[in-house]
Amino acid sequence: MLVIAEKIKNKTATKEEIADFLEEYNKTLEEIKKDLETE
Amino acid sequence: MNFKDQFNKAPVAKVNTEITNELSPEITLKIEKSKTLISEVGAKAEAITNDPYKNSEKDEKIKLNWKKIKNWSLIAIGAIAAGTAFSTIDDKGALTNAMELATHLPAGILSLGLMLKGVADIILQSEKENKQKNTQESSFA
Repeated sequence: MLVIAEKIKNKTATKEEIADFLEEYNKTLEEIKKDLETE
Repeated sequence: MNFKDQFNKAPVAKVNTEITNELSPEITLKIEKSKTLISEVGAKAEAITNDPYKNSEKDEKIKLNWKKIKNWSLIAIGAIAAGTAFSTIDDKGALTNAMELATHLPAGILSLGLMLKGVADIILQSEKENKQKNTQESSFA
């Protein structure tokens, strides 16, 4: 993901890569949310 | 060919136009989802933090997750801001977008100052690059 982040910063990422990046980001947030919900 | 024409023909401009002007519905939706999730995670983390019966294990979990959120958010917001900064720098739209995104992140979970500094740095860098390109262009004209 860092590779895509770097590409976004360098303005060389495609729209698909940006969408993939955000998808992964949201997945991580979902995992964290689930983790906190188990408390 | 003037600077604007050259800029518009560059691949980078195409990517940024897609993000800002056309604002792909898929990307917009994902950003909206990120904002909601960050708020939800923030609320949960805050509730646990304020729990008078919390224990060290819970505290450790919060710390671990907080680190994950912070790292990811900084990357994502920085990257999104960088994407929007380039093509909207003239009307300061990038800064507005970045600020708007930033205000959705709970201050208790993220270091807002750090994030805004990162965003501002990226925007300033873009502005600097634009100015440099403009200067080069006018010296060739």
